[in-house]
Amino acid sequence: MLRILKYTLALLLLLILLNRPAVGQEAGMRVRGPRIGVDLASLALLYFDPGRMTLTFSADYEAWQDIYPVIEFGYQTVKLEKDIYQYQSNGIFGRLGVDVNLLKYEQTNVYEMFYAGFRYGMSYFTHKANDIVIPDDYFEGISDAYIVENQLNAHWISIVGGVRAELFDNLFMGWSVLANIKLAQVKDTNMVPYNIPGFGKGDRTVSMQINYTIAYRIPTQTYKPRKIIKKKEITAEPESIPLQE
Amino acid sequence: MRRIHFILLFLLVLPLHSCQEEGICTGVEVARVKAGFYVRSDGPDRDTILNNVTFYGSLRPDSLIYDSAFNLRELSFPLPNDEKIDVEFNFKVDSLTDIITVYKSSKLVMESFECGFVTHHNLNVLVYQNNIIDTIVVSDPLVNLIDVENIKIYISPAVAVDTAQ
Repeated sequence: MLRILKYTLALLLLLILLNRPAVGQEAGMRVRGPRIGVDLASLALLYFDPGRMTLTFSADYEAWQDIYPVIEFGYQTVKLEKDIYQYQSNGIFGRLGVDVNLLKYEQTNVYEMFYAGFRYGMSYFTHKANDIVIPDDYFEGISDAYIVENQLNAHWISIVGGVRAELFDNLFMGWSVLANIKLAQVKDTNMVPYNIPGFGKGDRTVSMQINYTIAYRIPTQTYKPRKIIKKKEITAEPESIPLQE
Repeated sequence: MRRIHFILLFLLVLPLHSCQEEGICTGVEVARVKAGFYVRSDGPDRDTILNNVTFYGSLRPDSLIYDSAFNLRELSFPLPNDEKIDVEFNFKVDSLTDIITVYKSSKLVMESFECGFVTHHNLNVLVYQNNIIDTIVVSDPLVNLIDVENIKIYISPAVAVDTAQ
């Protein structure tokens, strides 16, 4: 998985180097195109949770001005090795939703975002445990028990908020916070999942996540945005006209 | 939005992230069967106590779970972790002995990621003799770490020494 991340970052770097000025950047026109990103927060979290590795990609597109349908997908592996058991989990997840940019600029070629949105997420994963040790000071303990691999899934909705800034032409970085609410989960009667890919801790109904994304927009077209209505300037009160009898 | 706002917002939400906290296991627990002693009466059943109680697994006469215990209101004893479906216990009061055979099914359940797994049992059938025991009723067949009475052992009136208040 680290190899996939390395190649993804290399590809992004290559796209940055090959970047050219936005297509048809005429005055008053706005650029749009698919924006492909990768989450870097998972790498930092390896320090806190070394047994869990998650890779998340995202893709969005400004379908209408300030409205971005988005799809996120990823893969997660968990490996815990303890004296009393070994635990493994693998799975994929996907999130589908839309983000709405809440910032309004008079300039049409400003792409910074402060956005809110929602997602519908789902995950399909497996987990198993082996080399389970159960000590017993009266009867004989066991040392090589196992729990067979179980296929599980979960569905949830997320409320998202975040910021995104354009560092260079078509290169964006930003972070987002997701509040996830679990809707349904196929449960394992033997053990709770350590972590549901894309959602969070397996024993929680509500979870929070942070993503830090670097993304590149492939400029494919320009369009004329709608006019931003300026606020009317406040002028002096008109003089009152006396009523004629 | 000013840059300081970004930093403050990020620091505010960072602790909310679902990091996996590494907890500490305070001790390995074993699921035990809880069995109370009762005497049938015309009114509601009364709990009772027994004296000079010795209790052990039939294959473990070298290791007594209860050794000549007095003022005993209940038994608490483990079951084997393996998938073997039956286990015998010797239940002795004074000079009288009953053999209790417990037919059970067992399942591994994860207690927590810190403490690992524990064996839960389901009591299917109990077969017993009637020197001490009048009857046994299974009140909760699931034997786990929750402190709930699993079986009621009704003692023969001739054997019951005292009745608890």
